[in-house]
Amino acid sequence: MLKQAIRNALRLLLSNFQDVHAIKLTNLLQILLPAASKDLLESFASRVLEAAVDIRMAAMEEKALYQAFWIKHSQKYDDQRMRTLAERLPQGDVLCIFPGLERSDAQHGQITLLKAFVENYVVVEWR
Amino acid sequence: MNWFRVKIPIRARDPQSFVDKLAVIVFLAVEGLHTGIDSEMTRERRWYLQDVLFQAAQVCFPDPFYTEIPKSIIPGIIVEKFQTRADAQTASRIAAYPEQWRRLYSLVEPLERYGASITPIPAEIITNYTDPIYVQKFQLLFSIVRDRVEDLVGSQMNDVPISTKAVEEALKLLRRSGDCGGDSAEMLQKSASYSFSRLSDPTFSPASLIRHIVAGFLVDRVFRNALGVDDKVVEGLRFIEDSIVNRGKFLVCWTNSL
Repeated sequence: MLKQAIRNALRLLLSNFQDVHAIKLTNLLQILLPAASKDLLESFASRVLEAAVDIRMAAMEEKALYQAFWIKHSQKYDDQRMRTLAERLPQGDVLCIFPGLERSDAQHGQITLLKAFVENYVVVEWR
Repeated sequence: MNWFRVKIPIRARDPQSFVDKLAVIVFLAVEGLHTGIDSEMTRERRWYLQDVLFQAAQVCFPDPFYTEIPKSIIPGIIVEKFQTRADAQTASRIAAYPEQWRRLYSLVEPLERYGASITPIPAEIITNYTDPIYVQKFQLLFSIVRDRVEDLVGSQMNDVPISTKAVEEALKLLRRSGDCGGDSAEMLQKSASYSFSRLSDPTFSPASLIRHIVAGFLVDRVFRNALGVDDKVVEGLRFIEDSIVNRGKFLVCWTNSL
């Protein structure tokens, strides 16, 4: 919520920010996918961060406040804020595989624009 | 409602540091709404500071809560009166105000030197983006993550095992990335259905898990983080956001009655 006040200053730092976080994401994925090509991982991380930062920068110029939300694994399925990729409605806890987008403004309060995508996920050992 | 843009010529040797400082000012600008007056401050300096704080608060929190606040009450709230209504946690924060105030005072000086000025934002900038564009951008990001993760997983040979040390390292990186990463790490440690060790299981398709990790990383590092700004500053800003949402209206009503 830093908004316009530091937007211009941040632009100077963005390329560095993207590089640093692309490296961090690449490092994490490299551990999880050791056989995947490093070039492929780097390219993926850069592309994803570029698109995410584009959204974030657009939101910083906007009158309304846009923010991404995340569904915790222990939350139950709620069709107001979540969209499932499973064929049936999830009965147990969920695994969030993409954040949702919400807009808040003074007139309309909080509005969910794009629901978080979730996968059915039942955590047997926690029940 | 007036909108402003703060023009800041970046002449500092260390722009990162300058941005951090500016973010701290923003943080304290809102805190300053209920901070006691420093009696040693000159009238001129206080006026300048009031102006900077007020404009910064309007720029960063363009909200009806603050547009109605008379400039004269910034920073004119008496700490003792507030403390009588505060719970223990709030009282503890208030106790730190004098030090924050001194810090703010020292931070404003460089702002003056850099010649920051505040100008109205042209209306066309404000209306540049609409909801469908955001949804479109978000869906583009979703499709990139979905499709490219499939490619990545496809290029992964399932018979390459992940060592215990690598799993621990990945969990450590996840926890460091933020709240979502911490939530994922907790799940991955407890869950048999989804765990890093299953990534090398030939019967397991890891795409959902990888997408979950990537999505959490983006939320933690891009969407919830102030880009390029120190994490501690971001925590402070987030606290202020919560503070505004939870008690901003109450504070304004109350302070207006002083």
